[in-house]
Amino acid sequence: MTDLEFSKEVRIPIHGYVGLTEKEVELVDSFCFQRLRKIKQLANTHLVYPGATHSRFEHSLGALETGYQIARRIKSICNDEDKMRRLRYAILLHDIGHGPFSHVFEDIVMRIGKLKPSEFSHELVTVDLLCNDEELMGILGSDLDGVVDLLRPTTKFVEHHIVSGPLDADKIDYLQRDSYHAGVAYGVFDAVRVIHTLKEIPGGFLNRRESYLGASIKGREAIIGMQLAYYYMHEAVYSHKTRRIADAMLIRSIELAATNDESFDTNIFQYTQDDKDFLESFKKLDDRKLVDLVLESSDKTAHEIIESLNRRKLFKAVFGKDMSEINPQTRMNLTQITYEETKKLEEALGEYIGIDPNFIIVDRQSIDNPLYREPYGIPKTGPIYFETEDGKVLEFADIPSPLSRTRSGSVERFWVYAQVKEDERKEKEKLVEDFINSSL
Amino acid sequence: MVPDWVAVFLTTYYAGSKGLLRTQLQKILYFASQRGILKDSFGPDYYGPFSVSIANSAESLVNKKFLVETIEFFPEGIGYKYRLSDDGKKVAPLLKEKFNHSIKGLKKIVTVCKNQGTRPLSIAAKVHYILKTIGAPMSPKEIVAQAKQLNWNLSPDEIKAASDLLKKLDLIE
Repeated sequence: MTDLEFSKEVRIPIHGYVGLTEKEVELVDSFCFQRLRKIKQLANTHLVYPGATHSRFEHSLGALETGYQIARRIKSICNDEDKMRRLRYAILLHDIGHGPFSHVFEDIVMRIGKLKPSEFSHELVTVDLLCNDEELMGILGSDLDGVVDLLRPTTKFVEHHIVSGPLDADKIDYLQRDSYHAGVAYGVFDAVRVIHTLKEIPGGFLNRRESYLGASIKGREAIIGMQLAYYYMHEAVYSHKTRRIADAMLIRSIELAATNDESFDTNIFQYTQDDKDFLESFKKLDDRKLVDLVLESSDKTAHEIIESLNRRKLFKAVFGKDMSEINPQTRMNLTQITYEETKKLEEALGEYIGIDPNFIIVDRQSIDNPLYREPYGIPKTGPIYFETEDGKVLEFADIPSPLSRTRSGSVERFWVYAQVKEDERKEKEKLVEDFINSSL
Repeated sequence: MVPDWVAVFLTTYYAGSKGLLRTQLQKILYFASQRGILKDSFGPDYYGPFSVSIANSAESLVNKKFLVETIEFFPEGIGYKYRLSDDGKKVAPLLKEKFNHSIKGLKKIVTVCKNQGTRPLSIAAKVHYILKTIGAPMSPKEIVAQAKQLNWNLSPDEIKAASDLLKKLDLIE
């Protein structure tokens, strides 16, 4: 096994000391990486769980340590110095493309820039930065292409799955870290056992060289625990109603400023691949600066909403139902609703209940089934594979487990948030209910 | 092309009260995607061509109580079966009317496949996937050899049956 020579150690929660090689210290000291200190891992979640103010910087170091622990168990990586080095760089840098407020920024760019999820994501920006930022390119030198391949693979091998997959270093770290900082126990699982049972599973598909990061069947209980942690963290933390309201208010304020203030620089939301101007503006953005941009805009409504958010005077949920509880015809209409139709619905609702539509937000929520999906509804990771003792490969959903028997994990809800006074809330709730039942 | 959720909804509608096992649903929609009825989001899997997006759409329709999912136990493992719920039956005709033009051919594929077992469907999908990937005509012997390389064990008889099924579906000549 290749022993790495660490020139520095950094102490973080969960893992304790994380070793960094000389080059990794240079990467950590780079402008793009230091910027992650000013981007909260969980956006507005601290309005629900005050401890959840940790940054993408800390998580990136945690993911590096987790990835290293996994990679040391995979022979094809730990016997190959180049592979191990590039894998560590890729994991360390995997989040440098996150914008302010992490995933919230992706929503903002997609809305304002009218882009699809496949056209904008922090993963795309990460690769753009690696391929265009001179400081990072200088540090990575001849490893650059290898690192980019790990982050944007064409064919996936086990090392790619350590960077991004259903059992990747990212998830194993963030579930534990987010749980720790939020002060909840939902994200606690037997990570030591999960990592201990991970192994390389050969592909055997059209390209025989492909391989997966799967697990020995002995790791089943630990991985079920991880999947449950994943689900409960979504239910209780990532998709908490109050956090959703706060994120929706932030997005609304930026949309208003960008739409109504001609001097507002919308270029920071106009993404095209490898656009150097976008990347330069992007690098200057962090959580605080994005809020300042709204505060500097001339749109009074945007100001009012962002000020309310700063003072934690949040919109209230005036309607919230599981989709299955809504009548079938309305449910089908809501299933097909587009962004433009959502806007029209907000306007009609505003008129009906007597509230400025800018202060009404319609939100369709989906909490994923941990068997199939990535966070934020990006279903890319595919199934989890187990190898039985006699070498047979099984998919996670097909092995007996509490999850495969109940499968009641996923939830889809329809919400309406509005700025209402507490004493008017009941009346507005009734009006919204009437409107939805009669008009959709 | 129809959105994946519409394809799942209407495939289950055409399958009727017997419903469809998850593998049947996946393979029927794989064939439908090859006819351009929905987007081809299928990738290779141990079980043959598989689409995470289709799995998600079925899951989402179960959440919305348009589909009912039940678990069936077989000697070889667990199977998930999908049927339309009462609510699903209420809105299916409306959906069918709205997408009538785009789903042309889907009913025939479901009719041909719904009484086939999961293994014949899976083999037919694997055979089609190999032919599509190689992009040239292949003899059954060559398909067996190619499948072996991919850790898919197919017999010449199974390939013959798969070819007949693919012909019925107008997916090969």
